[in-house]
Amino acid sequence: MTAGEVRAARERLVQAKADLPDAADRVELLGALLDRLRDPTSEPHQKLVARLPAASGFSPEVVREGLRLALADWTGEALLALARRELGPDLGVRGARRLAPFETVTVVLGGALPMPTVIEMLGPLVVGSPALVKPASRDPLTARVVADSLAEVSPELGRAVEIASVRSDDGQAMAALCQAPCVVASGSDATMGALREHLPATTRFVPHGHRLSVAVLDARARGDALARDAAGLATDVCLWDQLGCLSPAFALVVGEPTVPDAVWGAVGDALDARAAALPRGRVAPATAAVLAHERQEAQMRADANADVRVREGNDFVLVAEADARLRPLPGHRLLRLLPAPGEGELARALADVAPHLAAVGIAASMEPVVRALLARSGASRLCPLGRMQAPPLSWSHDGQPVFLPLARWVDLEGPGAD
Amino acid sequence: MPLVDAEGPLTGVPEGAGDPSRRALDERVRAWMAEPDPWASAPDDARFGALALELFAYQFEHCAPYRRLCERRDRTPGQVDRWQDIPAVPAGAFKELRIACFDPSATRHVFRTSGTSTAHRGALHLDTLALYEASLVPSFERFLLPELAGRPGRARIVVLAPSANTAPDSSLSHMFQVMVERRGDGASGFFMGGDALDVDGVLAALAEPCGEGVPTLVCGTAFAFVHLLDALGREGGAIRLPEGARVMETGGFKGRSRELARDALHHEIADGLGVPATRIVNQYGMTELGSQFYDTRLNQPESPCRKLGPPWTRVLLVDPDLGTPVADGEPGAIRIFDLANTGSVACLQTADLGRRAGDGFEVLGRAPGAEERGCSIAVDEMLGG
Repeated sequence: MTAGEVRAARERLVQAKADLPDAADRVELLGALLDRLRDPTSEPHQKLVARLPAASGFSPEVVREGLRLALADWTGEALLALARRELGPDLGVRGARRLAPFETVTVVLGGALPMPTVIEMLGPLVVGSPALVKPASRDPLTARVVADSLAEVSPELGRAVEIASVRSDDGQAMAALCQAPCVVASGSDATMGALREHLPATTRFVPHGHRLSVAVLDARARGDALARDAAGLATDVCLWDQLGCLSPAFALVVGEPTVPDAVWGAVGDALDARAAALPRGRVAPATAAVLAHERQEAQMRADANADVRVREGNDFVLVAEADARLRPLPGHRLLRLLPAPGEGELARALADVAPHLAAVGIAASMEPVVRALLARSGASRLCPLGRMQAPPLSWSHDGQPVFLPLARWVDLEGPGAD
Repeated sequence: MPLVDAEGPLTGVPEGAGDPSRRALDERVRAWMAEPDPWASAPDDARFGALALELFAYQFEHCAPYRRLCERRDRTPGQVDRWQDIPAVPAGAFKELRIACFDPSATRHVFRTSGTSTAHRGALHLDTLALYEASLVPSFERFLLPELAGRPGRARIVVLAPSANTAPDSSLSHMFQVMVERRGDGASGFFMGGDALDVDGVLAALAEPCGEGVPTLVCGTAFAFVHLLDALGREGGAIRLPEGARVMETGGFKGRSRELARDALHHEIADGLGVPATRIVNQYGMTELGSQFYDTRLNQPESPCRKLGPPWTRVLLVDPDLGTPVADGEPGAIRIFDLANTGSVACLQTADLGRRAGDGFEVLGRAPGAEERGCSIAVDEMLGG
């Protein structure tokens, strides 16, 4: 798409804004869209399951299970509840304060996980702004499927979304794309920094930089409790191949100076089982080189230190480390278990990642004192293991509300204010 | 003026290799490096293979972590009769283990990989710098100053990196220091202290007239070039390097500047410094290695550009999972055999991807901005390690 085409698309969106349904109808229709996306028999859901693997590189099993788990609670009802919580019971009227939507919002998508695309496309529409959407280069599919489904649910809403397939290195088209009063973007911190530099100071910028998540296991857990935690962790790792911001980049094992045999064995067995059901997706040659290098390096340490162990399984590599120092984490199911004997070690291990922390998945048996410490870790979400890839619609991504950052308000004073 | 003046020669430091068998190996490798033109004969596989196998046996015996790795892989000196089968140490192991064939008390110098305070840095322990320096000089001259190779003469060497005095644990600074002292003219020097670039110093050094037949070389880290280009852009300055000048850049960005794909960096350098892209050379080197690899643009301008190293090195491209060589033209993980690494381990497995290109290879880097399909930040990126 050229700069001229981007400008023409924005003109159409400005026209479409006038025809948007009112807030209540809008949120209801968007809820219907979510219900449709969630339904495994619906056309858009099936389209994603059928085509996303080829587009994104994830295995069909991962896409199917990832969508099922993530969308399970993303209902129309949940959307309405969230919209009311953030925008007020009347969806944009709070006493003398009124919602004054931006004329248009530009949405720049990143990555290839479909859920962020869904919520980032719906956000502007919830607050009443048409959206100009640049799909992620790694996933040109999801944005198109959401846009087509919107048009089916409501032609007026369908006209309020335009897909702008702009090349990131096309400076003129990117500049035209960013000529919006509000820009929402996802991607690496470097990409966010570059975008911010090119936006006028008056533009509302809502960046979602890359994040990581961490799992916390109880070193003293045994039996069924440990097996459940290990199974949950394995699901969290295998879904989206440990590449999402909600994927556990590593797991801290709290309560012992080394990773206990029981925990080591349980996590390895769980990964073996889960990876068999959820095969890993494509691994680029450059990534394969990094994975092999990390595996060999860990093995070399394991030969010198009995506390370091390496298990190479079916589409995964598990490494038990002798300390909680951070080492390269290339994703793609290379999971390091880091011992954290006490709260001090746990706090120190989390301190390095705190500015980038999204979620912490916690073992069921974890003590309250550890949970309290984790709540202060900088993460914006604490959840049970096995639920890391299923954030509620209302999750405060980056610690912020979902829709409010996209909203603009006007305060009415004097006659007519009530 | 340079931020730091070169002080005293670094070559000729006392030898540390006390073990007679090691000393004998060192002397044989060094004799190869000291030949008037080590590249004169065709690649001497027999000579390389014999030395590599002897070195393997020595390192197997004297480096315990390496010995364990070889035993685990069932590749011990008695079982290996081709240099291609010598087990490789993953380069990352230098961050975790002391990979050395001598007692710690014999350590004369330690080079460390770059990184932030929180990142664990790799370390190359050396009991002598003699072999290290003997290896770097002929390659630097052959690939960057070919008109001076094997002949006396000086060059204007403007270094966008700290001096060895400022950064004593930087192998790159050490290399530049050796070359500035050996080949630099009076206006040559170092124009970076830490991450601060002395732009005025660079401009002054380049403005100083060179003597007859004295080539100009601007060399440094990739991020230092970005700093220079950005500074020139901000201040409206421009550099037009003299006819015949050349540029050498190396390394990544590691969050110290904006990031550029290598082609884009070369394009910006060509525009910003007024030097043809065909005279910009990328060096591929690692702290853990005694030798370096260079683009062939200057010494073989008529041939397709590829990376070559000195004759006492070999490069294999291997399947990351199987460790076996890939077919010509296929991408593979870069494995380097470097006979200059007598005091550590000669065979290194990198995490970099490359491809065979004629008698050399090319490095297939991931373009900046070509993000993984996920939205998770890489921890090494986060730590700047």
